Amino acid sequence: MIAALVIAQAVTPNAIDKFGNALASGIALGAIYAILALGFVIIFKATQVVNFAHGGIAAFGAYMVVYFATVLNVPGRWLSFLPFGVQWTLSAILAILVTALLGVIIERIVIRPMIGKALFAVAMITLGVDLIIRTITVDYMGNQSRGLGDPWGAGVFVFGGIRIAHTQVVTVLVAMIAVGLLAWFFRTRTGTAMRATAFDQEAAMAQGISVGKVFAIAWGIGAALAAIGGIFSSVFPRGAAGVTPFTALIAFRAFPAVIIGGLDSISGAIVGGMLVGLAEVFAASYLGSVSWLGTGFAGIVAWLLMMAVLLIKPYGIFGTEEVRRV
Amino acid sequence: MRKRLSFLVMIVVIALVAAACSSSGDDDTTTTADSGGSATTTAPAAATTTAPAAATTTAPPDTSGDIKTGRGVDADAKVITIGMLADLTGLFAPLVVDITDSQLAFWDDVNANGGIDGWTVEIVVEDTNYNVEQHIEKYEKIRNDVLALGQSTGSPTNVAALPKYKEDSMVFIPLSWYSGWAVPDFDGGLAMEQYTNYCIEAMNVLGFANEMGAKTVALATFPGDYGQDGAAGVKKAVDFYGMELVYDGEAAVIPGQDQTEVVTGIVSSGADWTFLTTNPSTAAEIIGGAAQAGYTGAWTGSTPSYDFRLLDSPVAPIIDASYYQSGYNVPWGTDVPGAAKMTEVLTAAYPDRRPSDAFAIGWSYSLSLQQAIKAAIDSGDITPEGFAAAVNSLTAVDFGGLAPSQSYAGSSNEFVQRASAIYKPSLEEYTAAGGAEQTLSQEGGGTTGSTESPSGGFFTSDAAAAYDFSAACYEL
Repeated sequence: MIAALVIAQAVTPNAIDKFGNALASGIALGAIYAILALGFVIIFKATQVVNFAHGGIAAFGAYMVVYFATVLNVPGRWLSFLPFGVQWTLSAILAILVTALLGVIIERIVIRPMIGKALFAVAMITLGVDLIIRTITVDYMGNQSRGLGDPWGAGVFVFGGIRIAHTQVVTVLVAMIAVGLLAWFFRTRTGTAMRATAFDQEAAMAQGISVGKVFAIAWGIGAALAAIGGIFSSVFPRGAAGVTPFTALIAFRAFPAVIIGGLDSISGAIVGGMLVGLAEVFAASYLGSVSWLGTGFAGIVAWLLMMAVLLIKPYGIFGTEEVRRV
Repeated sequence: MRKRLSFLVMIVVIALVAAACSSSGDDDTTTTADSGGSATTTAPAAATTTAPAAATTTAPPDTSGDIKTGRGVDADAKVITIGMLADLTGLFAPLVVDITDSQLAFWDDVNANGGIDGWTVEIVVEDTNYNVEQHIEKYEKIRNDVLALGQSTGSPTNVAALPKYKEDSMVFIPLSWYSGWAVPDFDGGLAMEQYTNYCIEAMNVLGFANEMGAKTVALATFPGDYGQDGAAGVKKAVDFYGMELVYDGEAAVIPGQDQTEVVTGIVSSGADWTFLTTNPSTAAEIIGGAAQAGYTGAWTGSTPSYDFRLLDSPVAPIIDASYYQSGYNVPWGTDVPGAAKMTEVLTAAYPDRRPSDAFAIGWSYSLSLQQAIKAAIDSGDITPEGFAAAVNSLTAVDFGGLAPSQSYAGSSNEFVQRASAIYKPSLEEYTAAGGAEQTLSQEGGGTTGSTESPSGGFFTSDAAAAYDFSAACYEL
């Protein structure tokens, strides 16, 4: 029925423009969700921990960009001969690295001592970590929204009636680069060790792999991906005011993407992210005027999609089925 | 027998421990709202030790001397304690922190200059995070210790706490402009509301939009008494002016969610003018999304929807081009008689802070409270009931031009405030003054970029003037 409503509205004037705008916006949002979902999945795959601190870490990453790019002007103050866009990009990379370090520290201090303990307890610890990060970050950075000072501003590419923000193009490009880097990383020696650990920890240890190191790397990569998601959810147009205390909520909105794709599937995270982004934006664009659906339907469509997928594929589209001896 | 005695001893010990825990919680009453500035306030020591947990909220009046006193008033020390339930960390924190700090500086200055007829006013600030549960919790914490609430942030929070205010005869100045606060049948005559409410403010905005030639209007608001009170005003004004509401996004804006649905509705409607009742960051998200999609209509939001700091964000050029700021009070830097003292005190208190339009809100809130306390002292009754009576006798609270003068006497239709103003933010002016790097102590005191008023200052639209105000526009 929902599909019929979308189709019915698709045969209206400016239908192609509307579709094109929704598609571009959905892909950009999907890219953010995919990046966040990837972070979730990498941490879960390596450590079996559902990281509820992902949102706090994402917002921390965005705040770090504010700090480096607009407050300290680091490293731009020493590299003023470079174009502004390059200076800002270096600040963003520095922020992502600092956030990755935060991920490693979290793993070392509160996750590693919990190895072998109930996973529920570890998940609760990450929930506490989330609150701590968010509180401390807001204490230091203030409650007001903080612009990231990015070089794209409110710029828009115009193709007839289709309008795509510069930031949306950059978001998709950065997501593609991140996925490419991850694919390369998993083929390296460390990446192979990580995959082996995810497959069978005891066997990996027997082969001389340092599982602790793998855990730390997984948290570092997961946190770095969270930071990228946080940064691009804090730029025009969705995060036009910049990073706010609510930025952390974006990770919870990405959660259905993780489940839809499969909690332990890298490719599933990408597919799930795209599906959720597109579903949200298309529902918002085409179903907002359907009065009997009420307002806010777009906000739940991702969860409806997740439920539908789980009814058919209980481990997500690409998730590994758990085999149990009966 | 021995067992029974042990049991009794155990019960007594548990009771003592519980009592100790309870009183230690009470000891923690005092907080400050120092959010970067230097203002600090303390509650009087006596306030932390009075009233057992089970006591009713109204202390027996002290009739010693010529003045009747009660809860929150120390007649011997001549100290009046005022509470503030402020959102210092929640949805509206950027505005409320400025407002609260302005109030703290005001009272520090008053106390340093002899108080009010020799009475010192002490402030207890509690952070409510714009959260109903926390608001109620913090109110419970201070309810026995304060005469009144000099600021209480939020519509849903105050609506939830209203039954308790009524139990306590607690006068409160809502940092909320819900139209119900001007209806004594609703608020028990306890809300000391300031300025126009969201409903009448929206009528004024639409009156201005009508003069500017707008024929079609889009509307997008938060759900609840904040957003939907504004929506009610828009709809009444649309009917009054014969405009057309082409997108009705009443209660459609959910903070923290993706706003594509609202953006699509606004853009598809092609409205000449869009009215928002949100918070500033959500407004920026909607304005930015709509601009990206090619929307070129004009924008205005209820006063709390806008923050001059949006001029630091990527939507600044859009705001500069098409946003009209609705204001209850004059922006920072306006040359009115009441601004000189405010500027002097705030610059001394917070020399490194940025200018903010919200400072004038805090300042004028304090001016009205000061005049109410003076009236209560003059009447010889500073009990909660006496204070409420004094408030409701005020007919012309003077803000020195910072805002239109305010009355609390007579019927709702007589005293409800109907005047507000429209300002035009200017990115050029803001940037020229130093943008985000401005400080109060810089030459000229800085600007928020909103010095031009296309409405010619405070005005009352025909729709607002004609509106028979006898009940809240949006009924809860």
